Amino acid sequence: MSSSALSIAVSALRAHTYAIETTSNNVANAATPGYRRQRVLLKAGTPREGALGVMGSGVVAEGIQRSNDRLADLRVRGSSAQASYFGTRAEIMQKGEDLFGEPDQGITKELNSTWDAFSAMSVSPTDDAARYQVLSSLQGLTTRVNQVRAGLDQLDVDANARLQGEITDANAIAARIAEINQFARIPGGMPADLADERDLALDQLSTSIGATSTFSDDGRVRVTLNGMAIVDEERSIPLTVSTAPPGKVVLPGGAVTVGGTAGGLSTAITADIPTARAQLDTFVTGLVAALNTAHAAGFTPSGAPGGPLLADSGGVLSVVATQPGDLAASDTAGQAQNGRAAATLAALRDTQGAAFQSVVTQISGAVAGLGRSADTSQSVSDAASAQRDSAVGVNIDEEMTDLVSQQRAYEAAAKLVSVIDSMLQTLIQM
Amino acid sequence: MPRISFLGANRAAQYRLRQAFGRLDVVNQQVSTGRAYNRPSDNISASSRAATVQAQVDQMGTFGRSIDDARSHLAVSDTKMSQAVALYQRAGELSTQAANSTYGPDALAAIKAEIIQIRDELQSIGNATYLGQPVFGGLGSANPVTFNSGTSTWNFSGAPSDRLTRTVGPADNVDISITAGEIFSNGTDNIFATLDQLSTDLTSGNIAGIQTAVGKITTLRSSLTSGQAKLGAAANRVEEAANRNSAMKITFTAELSKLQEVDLADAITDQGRLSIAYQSALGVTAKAQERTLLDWLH
Repeated sequence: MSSSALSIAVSALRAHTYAIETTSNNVANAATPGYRRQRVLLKAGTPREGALGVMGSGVVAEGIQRSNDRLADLRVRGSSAQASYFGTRAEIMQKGEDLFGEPDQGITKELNSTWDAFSAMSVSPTDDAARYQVLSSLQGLTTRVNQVRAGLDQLDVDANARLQGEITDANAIAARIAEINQFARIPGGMPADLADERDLALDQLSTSIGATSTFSDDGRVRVTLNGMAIVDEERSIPLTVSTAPPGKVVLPGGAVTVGGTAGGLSTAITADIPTARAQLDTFVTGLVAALNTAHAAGFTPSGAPGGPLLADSGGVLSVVATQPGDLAASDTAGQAQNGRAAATLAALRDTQGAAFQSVVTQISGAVAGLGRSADTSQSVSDAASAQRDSAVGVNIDEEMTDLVSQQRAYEAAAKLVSVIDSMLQTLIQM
Repeated sequence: MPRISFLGANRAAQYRLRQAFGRLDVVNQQVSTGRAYNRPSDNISASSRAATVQAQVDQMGTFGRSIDDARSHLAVSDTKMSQAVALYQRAGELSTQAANSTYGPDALAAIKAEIIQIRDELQSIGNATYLGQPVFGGLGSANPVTFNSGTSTWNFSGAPSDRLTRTVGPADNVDISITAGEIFSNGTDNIFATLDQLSTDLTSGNIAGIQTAVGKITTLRSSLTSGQAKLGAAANRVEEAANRNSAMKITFTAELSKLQEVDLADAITDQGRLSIAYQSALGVTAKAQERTLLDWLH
């Protein structure tokens, strides 16, 4: 009698020790990213045949269960891929918009001072100071345009470097997931801590490249990108970034469309930055043509027709006219006081100003649109994370309540031991 | 009712604090820069409109400079032409006196000397300059009134179509000059040749010739005064444009400031309100987070 009662009490002590350890592990990891609440599964011991029939044999700790919510995982990963995709694009394009420096320090300001200078030259075509002012404002304009272009080029280079880094990191994470897959089929299932690490890695992979994952029956995870596997059973397939055309991500099987941060970078490199650049270039081409055409219709003080004012080649805008005498202010050869050609040049203000404003509006429109998408997808992603946290995270109040009941259960089991002990004592002293 | 996890509550608190701080930051930026937006994407329609209005304001500035130049130019022309009218008057009086035929040769010689002087003065008026450039020379910079000693003729440079033009408003171009040929000649005669002929006639005592000169001077004077009237009309247009320009500039500048500048009273009130909201959020979060069941278990 007493030996089986003792073993029941011992099983209770052992089981509740496990439970207390697990609770203490939960509390210790309350602030650990990716940690999911664990519970000890208690089960009544296998019944035994006794003199009076079938009797219980105490309690066993069957294993440790990790709280999990696959649906919440899906939502978190899908929405965080979206959020980082739009967030990255918005961030890059906002830098692009800042490069333009509108409205105070941008090309608009340089354009306006150029028109002012042409207008001043039309009023005093015989004044060299007015002509120097035209030359210096053209110089300022070309410098600003070239700065914006160089800035956009640098933005492209930076985005390429970041994409390279992002893919390298993603490959390392995919390799780690493949490694963890090896532990899926060990007896007793995957250790909870490894499962946490794998789930955190899957989170990172979806934020980073927008990968999706499916679990097979044996507990191994398969990670895919647009249907192409990057983690398959226990091996990972590395992604690479193509250099020509730049900004594409490729697998051995061909190019894949990536999402997440890498997707945002890829879209910025292949679409957003080139579009902004093309809009600026179209404007510059139009400006150079308009200025040079209007200038060619005029005559310099020496009576020669006006040569080209600006040249745009190899992505560099430069001022061709260097001397005050190179500027054509007159619309008739030999008329020193005639400033009509300069007035025609100054009158380009309206059309060219509107053309540049449309470039700015298109770029800032793209920035505003991306910013809104980024904000929306970020709040969706925050909500999904909050939902998952509430399903799988640690609540200290709960743990404390559990601890109280576990402690009481342990104390009761200890009391059982002491009662059985005193019963045995009584028996021995007889 | 969902479970609240430790990390989740933390993240939610951080999110709410970030939001509160973000709102405060926007207003702080508005107050410190005085601008309603700092990059075009913050408010696309306002910034696009502001760029258009700014271009208008800049253009008003260039119109203003053209107007100032036109005013000075017209003032110089008008002064010079008024001086010329006085000289025509004097030449007319002198020739009328000479035609009375009561003067002796000495008196006629004295009149002749004054006529020559008047002719030279008129020539210098015709070649008058503003900022180093002739005002009656059309678009060129050569002296408009010259005497060709080879052919003994007076020449005027600049065709009547060679007018200096100033853009004083949107699509508003005003002609601000007149050529020496138009004011000193009427196609058949010019004042310089007439005065030359008069001085010859004074030397020879040709009374009939002197009487002809009196008539010609009167006729030629009307060319001069009609030229003055033309420039007077131009001056009126310039003044009208100046009034319009300054009125428009005020309108556009007001619109620009409305588009770009933040209403400081509103912004500062918002700043106070949001700052209090942020501080309370900080305080409440700190209070809410410091309590767990641990505090009550002993």
